[in-house]
Amino acid sequence: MHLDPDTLAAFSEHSLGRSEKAAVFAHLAHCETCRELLAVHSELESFPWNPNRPSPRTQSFSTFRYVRVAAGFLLIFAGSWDLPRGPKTDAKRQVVSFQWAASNNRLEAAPWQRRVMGLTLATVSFRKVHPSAQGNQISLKTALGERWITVRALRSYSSGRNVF
Amino acid sequence: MPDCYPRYFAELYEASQGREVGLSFADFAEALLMASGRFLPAHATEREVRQFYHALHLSDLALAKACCQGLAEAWERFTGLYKDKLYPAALVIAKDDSIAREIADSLAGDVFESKLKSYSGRGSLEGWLKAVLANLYVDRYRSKRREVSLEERLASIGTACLSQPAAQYRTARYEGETMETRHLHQAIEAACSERNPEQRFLLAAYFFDGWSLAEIGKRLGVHESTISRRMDRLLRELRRNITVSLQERGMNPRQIENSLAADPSELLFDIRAVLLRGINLVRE
Repeated sequence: MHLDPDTLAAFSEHSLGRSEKAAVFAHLAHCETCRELLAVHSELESFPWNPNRPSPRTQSFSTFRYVRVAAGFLLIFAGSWDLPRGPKTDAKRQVVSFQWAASNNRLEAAPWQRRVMGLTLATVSFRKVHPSAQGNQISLKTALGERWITVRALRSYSSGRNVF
Repeated sequence: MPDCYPRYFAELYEASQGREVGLSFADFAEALLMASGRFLPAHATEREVRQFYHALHLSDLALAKACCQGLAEAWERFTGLYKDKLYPAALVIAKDDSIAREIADSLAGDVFESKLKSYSGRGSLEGWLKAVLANLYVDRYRSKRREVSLEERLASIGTACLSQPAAQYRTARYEGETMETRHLHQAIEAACSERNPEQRFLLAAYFFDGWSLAEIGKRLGVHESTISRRMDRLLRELRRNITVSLQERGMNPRQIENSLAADPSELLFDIRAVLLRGINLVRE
């Protein structure tokens, strides 16, 4: 019995719980075919299936709801009604493409990249990066205070390498 | 909303945009129940159930279920989003035009619809499609090209580990070995068997399949440096456990040093055997 597509997709997107993940690892440890399946699947990771609708890791619904509320406030502060469109899951893929400038400790983003989890970054007053002990987290300091979000990767401007 | 469903299902239905593709609330609710029935244990708490539902890719699930019902709006959206990309995606993995065409064609029509029924929303629909493509490719092409099957490979490594009871296997394997080598094998087996599933996977991927740290990282969706740290820790722990185990078996530091300096291929063989012996537990 091999990994089914549902489980493989959820595993690759880090959507499984701890015990399910352990079960998948246990299977992969002894199943050569499924390791090959994982390898082939990862070749498609960067395939631009639908640029307008990337599907990064799943976040909990409550997190999205929280951030969307914050986004609403930010838009009011900015006096802009350019409401973010597109599915909620766009956010993390965009964060992946952000770059970190070590010199001023700020997130830098091209105008087309400035939408993060429903937040239009142009409206954020200050952006600070804290690669924390918890792993892939950065903080966005906004008019509403500091907000932590989890990202898949962050690339440094200066070195060209991933910060994490 | 019917009373037979939890009240928060209405909120999930709104979030799924199921109405836009013509999916009814009842059908969406049934899809949720099927997903939870498939993945959640019977004793899951109410909180766990809610968390499970909230983590699903709701809009993808609604779209897939609507497609399964043959709703025109849903199929139109699905085709626009995914179907036309099947061939180029297949080409990425197959790197051969005819094979890519064959894989893409094999997913068309009824086959696609029947496969979509199994989609549960745990991963994204895009990730699921990629997994289906990868599955087809590995099933139909890689397996044909592989000259030695997995079972043959296991047999070549040691049929004893698959067919004999553990005690007999242990006795058979140690015949002809020196006492020191035997202690070393036992220590390696004990150390490896104590590793958690992820560590066992790392050992298999790195030593069996020859994946680089970067490849492992990419395939697990974590940075190479993270994998490097995990491997370092894993190998340090293995070495420490093996050393302690050898000390407990009465070997002195010089003997231990000599044992650990043995031919790495022997050590690899033992790690392989220990991991493969896990197959018996899984297959039982």
